[in-house]
Amino acid sequence: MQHAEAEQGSDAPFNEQIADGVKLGDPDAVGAVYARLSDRLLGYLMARVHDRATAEDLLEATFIELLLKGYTIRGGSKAIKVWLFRAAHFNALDHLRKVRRRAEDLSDMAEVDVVDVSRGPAEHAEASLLGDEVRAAMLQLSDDQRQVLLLRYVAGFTAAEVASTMDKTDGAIRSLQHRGERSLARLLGPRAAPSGPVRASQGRNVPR
Amino acid sequence: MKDMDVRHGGDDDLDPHIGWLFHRAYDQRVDVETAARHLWVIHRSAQPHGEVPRSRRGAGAASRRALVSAMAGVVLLVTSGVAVAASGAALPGDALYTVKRGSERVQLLLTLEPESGARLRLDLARERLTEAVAISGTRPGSLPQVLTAAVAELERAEAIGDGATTAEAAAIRAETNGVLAEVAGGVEPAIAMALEQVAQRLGTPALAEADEPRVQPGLQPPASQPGELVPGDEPQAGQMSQGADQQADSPGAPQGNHALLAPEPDGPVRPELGDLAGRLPGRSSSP
Repeated sequence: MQHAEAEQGSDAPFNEQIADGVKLGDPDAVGAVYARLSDRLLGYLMARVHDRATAEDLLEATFIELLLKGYTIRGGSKAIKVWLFRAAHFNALDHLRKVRRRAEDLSDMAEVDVVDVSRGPAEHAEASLLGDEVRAAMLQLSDDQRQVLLLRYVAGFTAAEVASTMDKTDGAIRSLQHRGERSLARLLGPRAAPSGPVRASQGRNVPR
Repeated sequence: MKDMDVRHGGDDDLDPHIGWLFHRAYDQRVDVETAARHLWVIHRSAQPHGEVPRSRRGAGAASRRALVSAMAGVVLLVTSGVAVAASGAALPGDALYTVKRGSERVQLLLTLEPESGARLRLDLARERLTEAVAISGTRPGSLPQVLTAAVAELERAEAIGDGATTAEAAAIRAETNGVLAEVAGGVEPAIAMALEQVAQRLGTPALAEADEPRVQPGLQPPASQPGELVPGDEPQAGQMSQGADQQADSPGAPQGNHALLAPEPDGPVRPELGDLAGRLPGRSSSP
C-alpha cells in the first residue's frame, strides 16, 4: 500500500468527506482510510503479536470495527487515526491475553513474556539482522515501556494520545518513553547507531 | 544512539535514530491479496440496515472524487498485482475469487461518472452471469449468491444509468432471466427455491412455473441442508432462502472465513429501485 502513502503521507489529515464517511459507516471512506493507514497499522500489530497472519486478522477486525463503530468517533481525521490505533491496541491485548491463558493452561510458565512463536523460520530469515536485534531488545523492556515506544514511534501517537490510550498521565508516559529509549540504547549498544547521517525522511517523527 | 537524549520538547520529542531503527524493525507492507480481501470484507460488512441511509453516505461524484487520491494507491497496487491478474478468471469457490471481487470494488470506487459506473456495473452483472453458467454444473450451491450479485449490480446500474445504458440493462435483464431458467434445471429443491427468489427480485414469476415440476407447491424448503452445498461455499441453505432484502451478510463477524460469495455488500435494493426495475422493459421479456 505504499503508493498511497507516497502520494499523501500517512500523517496528512484525511479529507473531511472521508472523515464524515467513516462516521456514517461508508465502506468507501473506510477503504480510503485503509489505503492510508493499513501499512502502519500492520507494522504496529506485528510488533505487538509477532505473527503476520495474526496481525493481518487483527488488522481486518480493526477496520471492520471502524466501519461498524465509526459513528462513535468525535473529532476529525486525527481522532480517527487515534481511534483506529487504540482499537488495534486493545485487539492485540485481547489476543495476547488469550495466548497467555493458553500458555498458562499448558504450563506454569506464566511469568515468561508471552510471545506468539508462530512466526516461522523463513520469516525470521527474511527479517533484517538489525530488525531482529531491535525486536529482541524490545522484548527486554517492560510491557509499558514497549507499548509506549510502539505507540509513539510506530503508531505516531503524541504523548497525550498515548496517555489517553493507556490510561496514564502525560508525565508517566514521557517517563516510560525516556526509560525505554535508554534501555534500548543500552541493549543495542553501538550497533544501534545508523551507518550514515539520518536522512530528513528518516528523521521524521514517525518512521515512514 | 548518541543523540538519544536530545529532546525537542512538546510532542516532537522523538529520537530520529530510534525512529530509524523502528523503521527497520517494524516497517510492514500489506500485500496485494490481503488488501483486496480486506477491502472486499469491509464492503461486505457494511450495514445494510444501519443507522446511515445510503443517501447520507456521501454518495455522488464529489465525495467519490475525494476518495480517489487515496484509492489511487490501492488501485495501482491492485492492478499491478500478479494475484489480481491471475484472479480474473477465478470462479466462485476458487481461492482467488475474493481477490477478484475485491479488485472490482476498487474499480467501482475509482469510477466517478455515473454513466461509467452504470456501465461498469453492467459489465460486472454480465461477469456474474458468466460465472453462474460456468459453475452451474459443479457448484450449484453458489448459484443463488452469484445471481443475486448479478441482479444487485443490474439494479444499481439501472438506478444510476441514463438513456445510454437503458437498452443494455434491459438486455442483461433478459439475459439474467435466461440464465436463471437455464441453471435452475436439475438443482436441488433448496437451491431452486433460492433461485426463485432471485427471479422474483428480478421481477419475473416465470421461473416459478418452470420449477413447478421440481418444487411442489406447499413443500417447505429444508431449514438447513448443508450437504447440498459445495464444499467451500460458505452460505447455508437457510440463508439462501431468505428474502432478497435480507441477503446481506450480517456484520460484526469479521474473523474467520471470508465469504467468497457474499451478496451485494452495499445492502439490499431500496424499495424505490424495485419499483424502477418493474418499469423497465426487460421485465416483460422473461422467457
